[in-house]
Amino acid sequence: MAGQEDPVQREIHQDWANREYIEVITSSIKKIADFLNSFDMSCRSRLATLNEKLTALERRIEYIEARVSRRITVRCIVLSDLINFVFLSHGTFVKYI
Amino acid sequence: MPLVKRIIEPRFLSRGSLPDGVASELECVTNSTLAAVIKQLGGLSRHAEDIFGELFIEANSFYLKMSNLQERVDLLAVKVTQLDSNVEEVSLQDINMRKAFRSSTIQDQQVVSRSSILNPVLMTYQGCDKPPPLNILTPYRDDKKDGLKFYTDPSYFFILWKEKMLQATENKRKEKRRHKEQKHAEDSSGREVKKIRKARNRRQEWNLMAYDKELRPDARVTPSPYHTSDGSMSSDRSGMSDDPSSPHSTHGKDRKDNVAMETSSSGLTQSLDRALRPTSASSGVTTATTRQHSLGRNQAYTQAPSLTGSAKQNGAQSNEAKDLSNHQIPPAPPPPPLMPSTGHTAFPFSTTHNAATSASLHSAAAPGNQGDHALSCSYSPSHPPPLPTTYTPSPSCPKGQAPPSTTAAPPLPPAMDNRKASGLNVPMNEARSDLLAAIRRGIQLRKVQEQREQEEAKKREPTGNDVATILSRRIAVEYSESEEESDPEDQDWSD
Repeated sequence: MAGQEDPVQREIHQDWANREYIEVITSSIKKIADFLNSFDMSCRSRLATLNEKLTALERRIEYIEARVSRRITVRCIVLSDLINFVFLSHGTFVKYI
Repeated sequence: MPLVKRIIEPRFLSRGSLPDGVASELECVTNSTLAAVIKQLGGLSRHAEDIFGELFIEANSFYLKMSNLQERVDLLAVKVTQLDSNVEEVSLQDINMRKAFRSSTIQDQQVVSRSSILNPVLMTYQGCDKPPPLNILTPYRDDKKDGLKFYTDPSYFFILWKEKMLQATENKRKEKRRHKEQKHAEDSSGREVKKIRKARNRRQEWNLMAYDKELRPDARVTPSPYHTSDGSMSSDRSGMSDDPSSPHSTHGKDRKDNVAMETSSSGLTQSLDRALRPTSASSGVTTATTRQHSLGRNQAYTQAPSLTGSAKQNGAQSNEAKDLSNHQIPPAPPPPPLMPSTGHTAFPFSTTHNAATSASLHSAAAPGNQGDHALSCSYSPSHPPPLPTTYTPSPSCPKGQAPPSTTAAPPLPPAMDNRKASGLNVPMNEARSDLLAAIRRGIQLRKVQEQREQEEAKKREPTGNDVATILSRRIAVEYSESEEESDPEDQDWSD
């Protein structure tokens, strides 16, 4: 009996150890997968916010370009606009880069 | 049900049959499980690379966009520092004549299409079963259709929708035409007095517009916030005979105010509109040929609400059109009555298209044309350049009836066809001879001809294959229909 138990027991113990090892590996794989998904989503959302700001900037630049090229505006008005949005944009970008 | 984007393949690690004759089965299971784990890790690393690649591509595009913007900002900064209000001459005429600012409204199209498929989804798609190869049978078909289209056609729904939309626009146009025909049938009795038109009013209008409001010698009495009334100017203004036009102008101004309030972007353009209305009101009373008057009127309407104020372009084009039509038009038939107060919306490029198509007309407009071509010019704002070239049919006019105004005396409204572009002169000549023959035979035959011409026009009509263009055309037709109901345009050929 003891002779039978030992190798079988040893084997079963070994098997349990292997299973625990495999379990650790698979749970780490799952954690990596979760991390990748959440990283992907958060990155996309930040990039989308950034894109929104870029689009808003682009529209303002177009507007100011139109104003400047028409030469209707007085210099100070255009300068103040430029300073405003450059300042704002610079502030927001520093956070994300 | 959401579509799974990425799958890590060996899902169940320990499933699988054991080989026979193995001593230690537990070890065997462990080893096979570990092998599956390794495969999973491989799949995981592939997916991770894919994820980071996508994020990198997006971030890269934003970086390029940002650098572009940075360059523009630098250029602007340089330009602005060079501005000097002492050196610049800003004439008052310039302020009024400038085109209003329009930001580019590019609409995204085909966002979810085969070309924008993600890589992992593409891999999954390629792993699926293919449809049966019915396209092998295509050469044996009689109707030359692709055999596989009967089994599965990705563009089926889009084509269906497109045809429905085009059909709907055509129906709306027909209804409008019928509506106008009815109106003309009703109103054709007592309008001889008002049918006189003023020639070349567009040039004068533009000259007037170049002046500021206060300096205009011809300015009407229009209560506008931008109007500072001088004593001298008020005497001039009060001297103008405004009685027939003032109710029109006030009424029109109310309507146009609504439109202008919604869409106006600057006070300058608003004053531009207000300036346009009195001039258009004044133009309505004086004599003119049919063509110029309708042309000028339409352009006045379309410009005033649209606020694009593409004055110079339209002025130039209308002048060209007027010159062309001046030579072509015989002693004008009595022009149809003018309703200057109808403000109907127009799209920014409808005015240019009006000028282009009116220039292509060979003679005085048939009834219903002027109204229709202004209405049916619909363009998506994101496709300005190709549209004037691709959009050919305004409502077709029975051009064959144009030269003989006497033969055109019979009621033309039922024979309102799609107007073809100038490039279709040859089929138009044929249509003209056909129509003349048909006129002699009777009105019934003309209706058949109309249908045939419509079909031809439809086939030639190069519809852009965009959702945006089709939708915008439909919306233009509907919107302009609702706005233009009280616009009895110059459709009468009565002498």
